[in-house]
Amino acid sequence: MNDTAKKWEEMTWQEKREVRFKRWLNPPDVKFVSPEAERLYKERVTRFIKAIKLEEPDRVPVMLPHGNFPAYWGGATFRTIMYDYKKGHEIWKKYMEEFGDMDTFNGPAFIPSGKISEVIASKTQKLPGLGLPEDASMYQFVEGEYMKADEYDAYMMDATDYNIRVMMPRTSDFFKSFAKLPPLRMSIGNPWVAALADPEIRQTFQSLMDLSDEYIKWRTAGMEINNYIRSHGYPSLFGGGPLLGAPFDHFADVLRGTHGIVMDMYRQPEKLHEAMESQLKLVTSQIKNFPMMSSPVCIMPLHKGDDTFMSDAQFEEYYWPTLRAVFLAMIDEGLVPMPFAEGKYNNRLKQIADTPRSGVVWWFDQTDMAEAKRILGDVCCIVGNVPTSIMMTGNVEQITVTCRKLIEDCAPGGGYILGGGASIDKGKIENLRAMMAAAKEYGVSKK
Amino acid sequence: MSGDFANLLADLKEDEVLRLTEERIESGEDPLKILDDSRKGMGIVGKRFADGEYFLPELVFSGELLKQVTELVKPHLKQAVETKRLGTIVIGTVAGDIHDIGLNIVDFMLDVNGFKVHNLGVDVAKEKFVDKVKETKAPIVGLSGFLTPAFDAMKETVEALDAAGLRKDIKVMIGGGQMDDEVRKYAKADAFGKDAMAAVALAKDWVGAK
Repeated sequence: MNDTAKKWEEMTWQEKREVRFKRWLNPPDVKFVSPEAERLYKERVTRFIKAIKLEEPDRVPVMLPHGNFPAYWGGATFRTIMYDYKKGHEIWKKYMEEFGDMDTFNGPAFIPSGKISEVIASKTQKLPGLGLPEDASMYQFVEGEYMKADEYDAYMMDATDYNIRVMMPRTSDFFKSFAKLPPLRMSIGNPWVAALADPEIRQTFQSLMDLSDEYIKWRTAGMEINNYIRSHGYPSLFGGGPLLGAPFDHFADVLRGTHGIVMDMYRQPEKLHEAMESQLKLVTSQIKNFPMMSSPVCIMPLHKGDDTFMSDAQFEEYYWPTLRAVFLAMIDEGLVPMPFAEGKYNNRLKQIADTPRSGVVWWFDQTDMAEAKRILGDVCCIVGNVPTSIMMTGNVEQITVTCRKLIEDCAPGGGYILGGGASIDKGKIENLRAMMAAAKEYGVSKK
Repeated sequence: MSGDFANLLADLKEDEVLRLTEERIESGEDPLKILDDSRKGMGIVGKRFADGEYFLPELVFSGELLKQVTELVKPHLKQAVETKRLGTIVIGTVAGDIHDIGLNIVDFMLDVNGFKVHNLGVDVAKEKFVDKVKETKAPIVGLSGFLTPAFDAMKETVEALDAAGLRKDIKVMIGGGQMDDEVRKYAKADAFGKDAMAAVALAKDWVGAK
């Protein structure tokens, strides 16, 4: 797992992180197309590493908010790329060449395979042409009380069993037959053969195997484009880490929904706390000894802890303790948690400052960045936040003014990455260019 | 006693509110009075929300309490309740967006604050907004959206209202996830509201109510 004499478990978290940083800087699986590409790659990764460590890089690094923008720029849509992996890659390559200098770039990783999504349709997620209009530019989640109020104990007793035999059949017709499986904790040996004697269960497994062939095509294509991008000098920022979030959101987003979670906060708060602690244990065990990835930075979308959803007291009681514990477990493994705080976190800044110095990178959506810098500046690197509205509807001058102000407020002393609020899918390429240009114009270190 | 009821509801005391509701029904009290007290309680909730004391969980839970009280009271009502409404509002999440958490909270807060609300639901085509405004003669339209594609959908909806000759007679407010005053300008709406109480304040202002 590492190339030093010291054993992994004996290292401090900073040492573990250095091992992961080194792997990010010198990716063994990438063959650079030229010495120039390699030089640029290292320069860009170094920029991010310095920012994460609260040092001042040569220039403010930039995370351009171009979610699925290349698709639309290239005359395609989210939906076409769900089906035509190759076309997606041609467009992404062309976009990369035409855009030029960027500090990080990724392939269309968040566009799932249409063929697979069609078959495994889930009630919790809708896609363009699959529950959403064909021209929709992203997928959307459908909240619901998929887990019942009295099912916390079943979930905690055996989350795997609950997910496979209850949640999956409930949220997807494709997995309906799984409700007939025997309890998985009892299934050693023969019960598996017996289970597969059921024609419906058998059909589900057969379909899964067939879909796996399509999955291999999708994944291979994805790896190809990402290797292509990296070999040309553009690092990935999020590189195959665990996709984690706040234990509160785990229950509030998908399992219980907004209405359900609120009922639990008032009617069975102890049960909710117990469930979040139990979830934390599962997450922690998943993080332990996490393998090396192409980047140690892990994006963590956060939803219901924002200023408008809950009060400071509720955040302190329900949201922060287990989220902080997830951060600490990740930091301890040398990973870099990068929570994306959707909405506003102005009231939260003081509360979230209680983490090891430089351990976390906070990406803010609509939070006041000058305040974030003032309160968190000595604690963690911050990312953000050209408003999505300006990014999409504004002009180059507005972008330049906004970026300049953000850089002036946040860059001094280091620990800052210029980013968007949310990502854009449609919009203007000149605005993205203006953002990159502003970092070069105003974000170069005076040292 | 009625003051207590309103306060208990505002303090979100579920057991006490339900027990008291049953006691008042059994004692033969006019059920309309119970509903009236509930409305007062919701008024306190709304004020606490506007003051930053309450947040979304309190709004949602108070809504649940109100629903339960209404269900207990309903069988005892002699005639349908005719409440005087401050005005009519058409709301919905614009085309291409299927989020409804914020939409339903706005619906609920407008309703308990005396507005007649026509909630068109999610992924609402611009034509549907036009038709509903024509049908109801509503002077206010509320457009909800969570995601960035809603920017254009809002703009197109306002344009459709304009093309139908309705724009001059109505006020349009927008709100939700990525919305802000920049989007308000882009969509040519009249106002952006940051939350459900802002929607109530805007609506009251527009109909000239206090």
